[in-house]
Amino acid sequence: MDEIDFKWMPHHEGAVPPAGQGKRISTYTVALEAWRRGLNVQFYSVFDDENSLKVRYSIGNENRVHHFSLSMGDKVTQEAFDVCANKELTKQYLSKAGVPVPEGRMFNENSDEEEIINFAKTMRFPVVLKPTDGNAGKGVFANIQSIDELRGIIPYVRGVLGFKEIIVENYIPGDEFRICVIEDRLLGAMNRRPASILGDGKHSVKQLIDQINQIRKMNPHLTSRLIKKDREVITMLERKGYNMNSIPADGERVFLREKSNLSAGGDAIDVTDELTQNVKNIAINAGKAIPGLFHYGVDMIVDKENDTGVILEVNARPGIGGHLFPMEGKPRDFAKEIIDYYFPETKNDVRSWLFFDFDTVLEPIKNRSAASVQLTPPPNGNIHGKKYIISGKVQVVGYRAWIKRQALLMNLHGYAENLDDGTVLVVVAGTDKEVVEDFKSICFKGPEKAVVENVEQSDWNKPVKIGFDIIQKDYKLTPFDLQRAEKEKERIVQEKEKIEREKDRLNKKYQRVTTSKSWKYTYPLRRMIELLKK
Amino acid sequence: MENGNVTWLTHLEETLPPEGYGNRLSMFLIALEAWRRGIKVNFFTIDNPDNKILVRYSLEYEGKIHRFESSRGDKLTAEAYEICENKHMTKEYLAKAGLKVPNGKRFDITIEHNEIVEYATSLDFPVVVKPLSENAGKGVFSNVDSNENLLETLEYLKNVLGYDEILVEEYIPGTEYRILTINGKVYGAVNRIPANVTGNGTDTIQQLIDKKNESRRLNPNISKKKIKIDVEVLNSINRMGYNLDSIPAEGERLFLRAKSNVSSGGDPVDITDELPSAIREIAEKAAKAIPGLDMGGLDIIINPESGESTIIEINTKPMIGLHVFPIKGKPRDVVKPIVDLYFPETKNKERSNLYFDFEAVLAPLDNISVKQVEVNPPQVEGRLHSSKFHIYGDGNGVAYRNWVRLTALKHGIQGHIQKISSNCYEVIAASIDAEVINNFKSMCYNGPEAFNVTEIEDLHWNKSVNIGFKIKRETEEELRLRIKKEKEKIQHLEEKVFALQSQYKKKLQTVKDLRAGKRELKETIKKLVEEKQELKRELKKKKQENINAEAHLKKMDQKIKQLEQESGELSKKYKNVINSRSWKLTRPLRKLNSARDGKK
Repeated sequence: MDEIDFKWMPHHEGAVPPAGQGKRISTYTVALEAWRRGLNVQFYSVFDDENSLKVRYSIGNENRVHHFSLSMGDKVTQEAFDVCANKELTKQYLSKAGVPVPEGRMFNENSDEEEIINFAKTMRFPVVLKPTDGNAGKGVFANIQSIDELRGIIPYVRGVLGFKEIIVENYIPGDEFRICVIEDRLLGAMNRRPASILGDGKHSVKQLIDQINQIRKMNPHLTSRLIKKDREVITMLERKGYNMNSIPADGERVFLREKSNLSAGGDAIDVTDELTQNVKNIAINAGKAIPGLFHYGVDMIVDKENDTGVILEVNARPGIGGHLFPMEGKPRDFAKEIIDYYFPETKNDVRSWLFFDFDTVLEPIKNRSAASVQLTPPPNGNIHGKKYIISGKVQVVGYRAWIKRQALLMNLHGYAENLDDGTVLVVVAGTDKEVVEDFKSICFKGPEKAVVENVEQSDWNKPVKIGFDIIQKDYKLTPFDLQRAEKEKERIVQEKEKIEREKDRLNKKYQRVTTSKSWKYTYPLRRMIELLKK
Repeated sequence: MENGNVTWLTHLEETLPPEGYGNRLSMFLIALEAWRRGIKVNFFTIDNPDNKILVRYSLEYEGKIHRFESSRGDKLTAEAYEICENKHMTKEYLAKAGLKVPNGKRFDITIEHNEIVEYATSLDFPVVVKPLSENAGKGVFSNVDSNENLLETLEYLKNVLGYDEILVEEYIPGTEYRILTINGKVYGAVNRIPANVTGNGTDTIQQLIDKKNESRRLNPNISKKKIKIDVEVLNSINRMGYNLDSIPAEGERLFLRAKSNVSSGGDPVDITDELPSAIREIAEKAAKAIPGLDMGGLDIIINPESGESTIIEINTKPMIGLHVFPIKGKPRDVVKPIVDLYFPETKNKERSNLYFDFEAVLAPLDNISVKQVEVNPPQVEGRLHSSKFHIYGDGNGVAYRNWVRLTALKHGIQGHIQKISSNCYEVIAASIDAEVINNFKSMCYNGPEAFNVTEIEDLHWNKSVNIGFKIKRETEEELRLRIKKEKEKIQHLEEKVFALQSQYKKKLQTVKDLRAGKRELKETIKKLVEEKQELKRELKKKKQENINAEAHLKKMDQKIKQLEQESGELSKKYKNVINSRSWKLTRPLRKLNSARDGKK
């Protein structure tokens, strides 16, 4: 299971640094696309009322600058953004324009529970209860079957979760799709499936989960969103008569959770090809219904039988990670679409094969030292890459540092790494093919102390980080390493305490022996023996 | 003097690590001073043919921008720069102003060397040979004492170091001073003592150099400027009749180099207050002699006997840290006048007690990813109230630290939280409003459910505070060091336990042995007692026997008496027989018998 193929778009392979994974994936991939085209990219911070930090970025081409927040650019008006942020208002706009939405009503904090219950009595069950301004499915209760069930949920959502404004609407069965649109063009659709495994008749549930997690780790969108084998999963399995060691039949899909959230182990699946023209039109009309909303995502329940659907929500800055990195289906490059839309003049520009180190770029902003950082543009032109493996006496002779100097001098990017077998791996990439190929002779030369025996070369077609890194496994401490070190430290402290206790115990014992009667009484004898020894 | 520890200017404490920022120290000091006054600071990289990462910065206030390279700002005119870059030209300008400079001449070393030798001979050896334009004492040979030495040096300068033009100057004996002038006024003077070590009677020269380098590590200005053992150092040691393994006597001071540059291991000692006013005047005159020189580092040699001063050269990118972090003497805040010069309108602004994370700001520039970083300005002008406290408690520490950070940020509090032991967290908090800090403290006391605070201990804090609110972790090195120390402690304890254990075992064994000995003794005593009884019994027997024997003896005595009596009676009877007639009558018969026996 060590080598898993990267199943998404090749220009993203290895090109998403940790800071760009997970929640900042939209920001990073859009900025990366712009940067790779030679556009001027700047990251900056803004602070909200709570003084919490938000990372924003601007992309400029000559004198034209656009500002972005996640996947949303400044062509989307503040008004449109505000409408989308309020679910009830969105619904009003949509239904006015004839876009199908679920029936229902919003209740603000002035409405008491009875009012809501009375309204619900007029509705067909099942119903859905959700907050007007909730995010990422928080506080949403779907498929409520009865008034009694509703009665239980209202105080929880309003009291415990603290959402005052809520919506009660019809529950519409069907698949929930997330569809992204730019003006008249539908970009693609995805569907979220709850965490699940697909049996093969050979592996146990536990092994299958581990395999899925291996793939999720490879997925920049899901790196830290693995399937946890927690109580919920175990209960769910038990309900189906399984446990961790059961072996599901070949082709059997076993669901592990109810929720389809990606953070709970859910999968994004590209379903663009399943959309019919009617469904597409509903998604496109939703945008037209809200003035100033030029690109967006909609959450839609698609009723395949009747070839229609209802819009649940419109999102002015949808996350695009699921579309770029689906677990099933074709990846869709929405980052490219967004940049094409804002900077159509760069549509056919060569996209550099380099990427930037988002971690160090973001660090000064995140720790509030920097207000803004402006990226160094990548060199113009196509990037050629080579991989060299150098054998001989090449480790612990300053080989990598020397190679780094040479590479930077020649405008090459890449990295050098000591391999366990005593060789050094060097990856270089640059715009001048000849320089990249000639670098082999540089590898051969090496610093004075090195004795190079052989240089093996092969092509390198994956993206390369700008600059030149010396990869030091031992020294690069990630937060994870720090955590581990901290744990190690704690362990040591505990051990120390244990030993101290042990010491005390022994000391006491020793004391006891020395003060014991028999010890005292035998003193003359001992004295005699000592004298005898002399 | 052997100790690299520095006296810190209060406002700089905490703002930078003791190991400093190497050659970027001047940049940091000036940028920080400006930033603290509300001047906008931008760091950026510039393109260059060698693709080196060259970081520059700009300071901007109310529309006015100044650019800097290290300590050199754009008020320095092109003319002044040119004059100071060319050491010969510098001397011309100074001489014209009536200041003493060393006699010397410039030469092109790519052509004939004969002329140079001739000139040097005319100056008298030793002479100084140095490149025409170079910084930080690079390529300077200050003690060339013979023709051969000169030729060698010239070859070296030409072929190895690759210089074309050089200066040959007379050697000026005396003490070298570095004087910093800003806008024509002296702000600091240090005596740079060439790289040296002082013997202690036990360490070798090598060890002394290592120790000295180790002590320099804790001075931000010189932590990376170690004494390297190169040809020059080895030569100096040889000249003194030593080698690296020699052990100099206690108190013996060895000078390892002729040149005093801090970058080659020299010690800067502040002497601003002792600087004679005459020299101060000369320095100020010299600074004014160079048109357009906003700030300069003057190298002056003063003859200790005559008091005469000679100006060697003027540096337009002087090392600021020399004056801020001298190895001895008073630290001087020479940064303030520099920023005052560039932004006089901010002169009276109260300086913020915040600082920014220089390392994080420069990291993306260093790895090429970023071209420019704009430093986040301190949100409020002037000093913030600051406080330090320790929070004791237990529970989910990670969650607690995150919670404290978010709460601090929400209330505009800057500072950090750091775990300092298993149940104690250190918090530094700064805010414009002291009340806000107090409220924050009580919020920390109540905290989230996952953590139970038992006590908050107030401590004093008047050092600087970082911008933003950090969950501070030990740096890699600190962590490593701590783990190493803990491990050592554990090992020590383990050894102790082991020692105690074996001691205990030994005692236990002794006790056992003694017990066994005691048992044995008892046994022996028992045996002895038995033996005694046996003997007693025997004695009794013997006594009995004795009595018996005495009785027997008595009997014997009686028998003897009886026998004596009997024998008396028998002798009487015998006399009677002899005197009887029958015996007399038978005498001839007996005589015959005996004669017959005699013949036989």
